[in-house]
Amino acid sequence: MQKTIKIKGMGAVTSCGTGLPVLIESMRAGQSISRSGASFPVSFGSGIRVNQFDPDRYIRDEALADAVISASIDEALLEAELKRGSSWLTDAALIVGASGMLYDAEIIYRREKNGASAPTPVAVRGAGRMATDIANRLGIKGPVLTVTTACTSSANALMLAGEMIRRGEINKALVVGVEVLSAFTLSGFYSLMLLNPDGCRPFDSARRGVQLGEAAAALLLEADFAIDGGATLCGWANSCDTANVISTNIDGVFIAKVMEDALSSAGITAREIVCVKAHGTGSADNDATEVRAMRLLFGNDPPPYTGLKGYIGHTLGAGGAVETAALFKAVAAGFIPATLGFKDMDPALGSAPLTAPIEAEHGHYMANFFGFGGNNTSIVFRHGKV
Amino acid sequence: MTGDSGAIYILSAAGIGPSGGATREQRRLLAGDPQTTDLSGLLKELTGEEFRRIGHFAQLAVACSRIAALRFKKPIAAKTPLYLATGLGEALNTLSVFAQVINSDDSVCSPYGFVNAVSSTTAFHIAKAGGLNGRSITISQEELSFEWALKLAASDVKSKSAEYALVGGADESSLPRQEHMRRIRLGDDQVMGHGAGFLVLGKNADHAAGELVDVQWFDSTGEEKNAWVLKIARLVERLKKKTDRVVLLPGFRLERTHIASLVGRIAGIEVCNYLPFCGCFHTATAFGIASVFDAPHERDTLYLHVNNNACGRTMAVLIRAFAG
Repeated sequence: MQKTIKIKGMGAVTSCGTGLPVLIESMRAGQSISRSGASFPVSFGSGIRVNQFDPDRYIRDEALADAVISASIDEALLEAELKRGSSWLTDAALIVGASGMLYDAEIIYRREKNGASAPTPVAVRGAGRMATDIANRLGIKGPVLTVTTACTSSANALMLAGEMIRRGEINKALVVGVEVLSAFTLSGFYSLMLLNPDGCRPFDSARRGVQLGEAAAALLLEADFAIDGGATLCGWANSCDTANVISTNIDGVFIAKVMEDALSSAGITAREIVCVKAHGTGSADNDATEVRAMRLLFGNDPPPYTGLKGYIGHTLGAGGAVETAALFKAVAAGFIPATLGFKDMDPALGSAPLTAPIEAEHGHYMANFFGFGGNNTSIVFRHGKV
Repeated sequence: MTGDSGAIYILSAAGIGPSGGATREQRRLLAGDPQTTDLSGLLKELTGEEFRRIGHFAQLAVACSRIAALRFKKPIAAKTPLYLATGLGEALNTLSVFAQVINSDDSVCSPYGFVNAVSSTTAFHIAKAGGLNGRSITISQEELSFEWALKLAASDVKSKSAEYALVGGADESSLPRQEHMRRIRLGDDQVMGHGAGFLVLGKNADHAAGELVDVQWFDSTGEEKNAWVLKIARLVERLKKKTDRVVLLPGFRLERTHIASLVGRIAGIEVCNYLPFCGCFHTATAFGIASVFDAPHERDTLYLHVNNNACGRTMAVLIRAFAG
């Protein structure tokens, strides 16, 4: 019997709150919790919308990432009926996806700026160190590695974990995605004029850019031979489009190819895809490219597609993990979420994402993640028996 | 990764140290903190293109990857996977953007500065310069970044999902020295360094310079403390051939006592310290392993590279450089 890669447990912390149930309820209700301006100083702060962690629950200090990661892991462990210190975790690999860890450097720098000693710019603790710290705290003895490929970081972490399990190099993995916003990140997107002051509107005729968010998510993957109807990771592909460092080629050919390669990796055809979780950032060119790519792959009879960034923002390096968890928990709860932020169809696209939740079917789902550096990843999951 | 069906060959290699050169003649013993060498001329020579806006880290990585690919003398398929390892990435540029954001009133940074600081940008430049459009993964796992990248690249080739793989590591140094050394958890008395190393891996033995024999990780925390020394010694005994010369390449985090333990447990092993040529940086392993191929070998030589990270994990890389 062919080995499957079961998603045994999932957890997440987003702007909607701690735990996937609150996020699922937000998606069911079509609600987002975003704020005008960031909770840390940036001069243009009032002109943007961001999705940040609950400030009443999570103190914005250098331990913030650890707190949200821990909460995510605990939720995933609870679902899997595992405890910290269990042999499952001890034997697992830890693969982290994070795009950068500059928020804590900023916090420390600001605190020390007016002090007696000169502050140290840029984090002493990068994403790699954070992964090692997590592994040591959890007693993980397996491989520990960190993927840093910008917005596809944790999608690629999922891909590598799946691949290592499929090849028999490991049997189980804890995949973590995390993004904590910083002035550095906001400033970068602002300087590139990629932020939409009105928030994220994926695929909408009035889309003007992204809305950044912070999130953490944890997924427990395990090699399994049973087909019990749960969530499984089936296929993946990643490629590098060198057309442009901040966006992919607008003809959609490259994106279509990575989606096709993911189908091939999963051993299925395009017709077997129930729904696509689009990358859907709300930026003019990227959304148009993704629609073109879906048209190239699926032809005139495409499956429904949806975008989740209207609920939680574009969570960059955490996006792969948190959007995968969000999609699957929604599907397990019986629905595919609508695309929050979408109102009017763009005539130039001639295509609209889901505008209302629909009933989720058993079958294969595709999730797209695209990032700076031309880094494109597509992952195929299965929900239930097919 | 041993045996006929699973052999992974090292088809070409290139290492660039602080001197900016990639040949044995250009290697220089470090006499102090390394200077940042402008590699734009070398890049132009290698690629025919101007890379005006990229930083020193990206220059190191792109130039080194091109030299490794050109030394292979065969075209590498566009779909060849690329694995880039780095501990700190664009350290100098990130420091500059950080200062722009945090110290200025408008907290707005240079768009180019930000894009260059993004973790996937350098891999993009490597792919573009090399005509690659396959998988592109950047691994950042401190001192073990290159070891993991190498293991993943080798798995791609071994599983036949790729005919070749391009894998390398690069890091740059930054000033003030004390802050840089603190960032990589080294004392002020240690040698600060930077550089890059790239390998082209493949399944076909034709013209191979060597083979990747194994990449293993060991947990060296808790009860397993120091047990890895014994495990590595056993691994070498198992994998070495009778005719092999055996050489230990100590990583920058490996303590003298561990080097002594390995030398004491592995019969006939010699020690070759490459760090005086490149200094200490997270991906020095890439430079150390690539520079093994600077000169021809009189006999097959099994190189054992061992490094720890600061949190109790150890990785060993075994490569065999072929005679001739």
